Order: sequence, then structure tokens, then C-alpha cells
Amino acid sequence: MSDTKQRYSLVGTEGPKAVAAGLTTGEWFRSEVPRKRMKELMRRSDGPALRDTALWLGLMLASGVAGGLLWGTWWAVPCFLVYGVLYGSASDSRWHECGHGTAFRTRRYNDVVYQIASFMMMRDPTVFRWGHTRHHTDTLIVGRDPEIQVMRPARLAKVLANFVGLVDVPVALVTLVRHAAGRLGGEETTFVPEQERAKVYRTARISLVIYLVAIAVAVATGSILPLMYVGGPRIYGTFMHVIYGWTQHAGMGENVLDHRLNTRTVRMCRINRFLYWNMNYHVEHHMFPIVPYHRLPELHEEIAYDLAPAYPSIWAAYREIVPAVLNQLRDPAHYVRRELPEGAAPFHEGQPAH
Amino acid sequence: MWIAACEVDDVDPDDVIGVQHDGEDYAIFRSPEDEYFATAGHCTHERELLCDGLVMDGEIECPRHLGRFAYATGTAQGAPVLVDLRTYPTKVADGVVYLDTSGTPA
Repeated sequence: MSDTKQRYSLVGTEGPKAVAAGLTTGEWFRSEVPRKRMKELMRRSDGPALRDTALWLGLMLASGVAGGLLWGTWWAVPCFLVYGVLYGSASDSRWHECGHGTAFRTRRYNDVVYQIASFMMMRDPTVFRWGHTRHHTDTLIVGRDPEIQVMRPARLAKVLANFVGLVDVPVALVTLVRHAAGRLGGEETTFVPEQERAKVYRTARISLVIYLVAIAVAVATGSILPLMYVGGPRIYGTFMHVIYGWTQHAGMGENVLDHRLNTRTVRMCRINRFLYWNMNYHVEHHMFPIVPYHRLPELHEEIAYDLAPAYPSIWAAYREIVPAVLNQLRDPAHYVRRELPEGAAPFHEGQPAH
Repeated sequence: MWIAACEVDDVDPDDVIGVQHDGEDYAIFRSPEDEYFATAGHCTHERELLCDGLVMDGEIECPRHLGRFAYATGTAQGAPVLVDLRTYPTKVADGVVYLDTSGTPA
């Protein structure tokens, strides 16, 4: 294992150091929001997510049918581009929000969409729920957070290959087979409780059967079309979820206890906010994960006085991210540190950021 | 031991407040039917104050990882909370909510 991979491993050397430094039990900074206002922002409803889910699945259905009818012509390309992005990218934010249980008021709706989106993203719903729970406990704490996408120094070949899922998908398939065989990986055992593991194995067996059926149909028909619908979009349509995902934390401070130091909020257009379910308001989401995605713009206005200014666009965020990540190849101690507006609460670092 | 936790109107209907006694945190709930319930103040998953969470449909949702408990019984409703909350008996007298800190195992 390389030094970098070893440092970020959940069973490596850095996790125990973070625990010893008090980073895993420290209080994270939260902006002050009056209880009355927070109750309004936390309030659940089914309406927005039902509308967005109908649009999401409806567009998938329409683009998928059109792509199938036009298969063999160039007109199928834009159809499957739409289908692929809805499947391989938009599912990421559906997985995320429904995993938190905040998208819908009705828990059953959250659970159903969570299972569908987990399958599309090739994530085990149980393992990734616990992994994401840890991400919220120990955001960008090295050796503790299983979701650090861009390490220092970045493993550039890997992160670039993942724009078309070339690392994530093979890893997901190997993991799927391992789970179907009734085994967890070493890191997974650090955050998935014993009593949750049977669910992992059962889900993996169901998913594996679906993939095997899709492959069998593709072989029997001599066409890759079945895989354009099932599994394939995690390769050809996943690039947007990587583009969104990098804006969250790449190049920011590690081992801090203030999401304003390790997370970005980026303004995005209506289409991107639909695909990404408002997770561009990422500082706000981490500070108050209990607020549903459709109330995050209001939460942003509520606590803007305490936050560094939002990046005006994805492009603006990348103008910072790319040089920062390239700098970190030479100097892994380099990180982006934002300036807070006058009057904002000072950074709560826990220990000096690095 | 019974202690005075709060005034009845300190808690809105269908809401929660946090109270401290002898360094211990407790959560006091008022149902939409104006019944009062008390539980331990912190989530059993990680040490997070439940009084900052969302009360909905007889449950309290932890503000950090969104684990839910039935506040009347303390029963954990599923991942990421797997351990029930401790609950405490309550009574109301002369506009004051009392809780019995000797409690009952959840």
C-alpha cells in the first residue's frame, strides 16, 4: 500500500492519531439559528421530492425508450447521454438525500428511492449508509472519513479515471461479489455493525442476479443495449456526479472541526441543482444535515453572515480546485483557506488545519 | 428522585427542550395532545444533544446523523441508532413538569 493510501486508510496509522488528538469527539462549529426558524427549515414534506422524483424517473423512461427506438442511429447518443446522466450522476444525490431520510416526509418513500439509487450507483445501501454516517461524524478527518475523494497528494490517475467509473465500477463489482459471498472488507468492518451485515449480503445477492440477467440478455441478443440500461450508465453517465463531488471538499483543510474550513458552497444553475438536489449548498448541509435539500437555499440565506462567500459557479470553484490539487502534488501541506466576512464567528479549528 | 424540569409552557406542543440537572442532560417532550415525556438528553449513537433535533410523528430525530427514537418509549427506529434511549417518568403539577431521574431502563 502506498504511503498516501496508508494514511487515508481507515485501518491505517492516522485514525488512532485523530482519536488521540480529540478530533473524533470534538464539537463541530454550527452557526446560530433560532430554534423557531430551524423548526421551519427542518420541516418535512413529500411534495418537492415527489415532484422531482417523478421528473427524474419520467425523464429516464422517456430518454431510455427514445434511445432504444433510435438504437443504431446517432440520435441514440443524446438520448442515452440524458438517460446515463440521470442514472449514473443524479442517482448520487438521490442516494444521499434519501439515505439521510430527509428528502421525503414519508419514510417508506425515502427507503424505496434509496434502494433504487444505491443500486444505480453500485453502492451497497447498508455499507454506504454507515460510511456516510462516518463522513458526517469525521468530515475530512484523515484515517477516519471513508469518503475523502481527493487525497493529498491526489492520486490523479484514479480520480480522472473515475470520470468514467474506471476505478469505482470494478471495485464495486469485486465488492459486490465479496458481499454476495458473505464477507465484508477490512475497512467496512470498522463502521458496519455486526447486526447490519446480513442485510449487506442479501442485497448483494439480489443485485448480482440483476447484473447477471442483464449480461445474459446482452450475450443472448448479441447487443450491448441491455447494458446501456443497467450498469453501463455508471460508466458513461457518471461524469457529472464526479464534477459535482469534487466541489464539496477537494483541496480544503483536513483535520478541522469547522465545515467552513473543509467544505464549499457553490452556486449552480437550476438544471444542475435538480441533478444534484441542492447539494451545492454543501457547507449548509454538513452544518445542518437535518434540513431537507429543498430548504437549503433558505438555510444558506439564514447563515450567510457566518460563511465565506459562495463560489459564483462550478467554473469558479474549479479555478481554485485545480491549482490547489496540483499544488498538493508538490506540497501536500497546501490547502485552501477561505476568508470569512467581517462579523462572522471565527474558525473553530480544533487544532491547526493541515 | 423527582425534580422540577421546566414549566409546562416552556415546551411547545410537538417539540422538545433540553434541561440539565446535576450535570446530566435530559430531553423533555410535549406531544400534540399535551402529554409530557422525558428521555436521556443525548443520542445513543454519538454524543449529540437531541433537543436540537426534529420532533415529528411521536419521534425525535437526532440533528447530526438523523437517527430516530420513539420519544414515549425510547425505542430506536433503525440505523444509525441501534440502542434504545433511556426514558424517565414524568408528571405535571401546578404548571410544572417533573421528571424522575431514577428513571426506567428503556
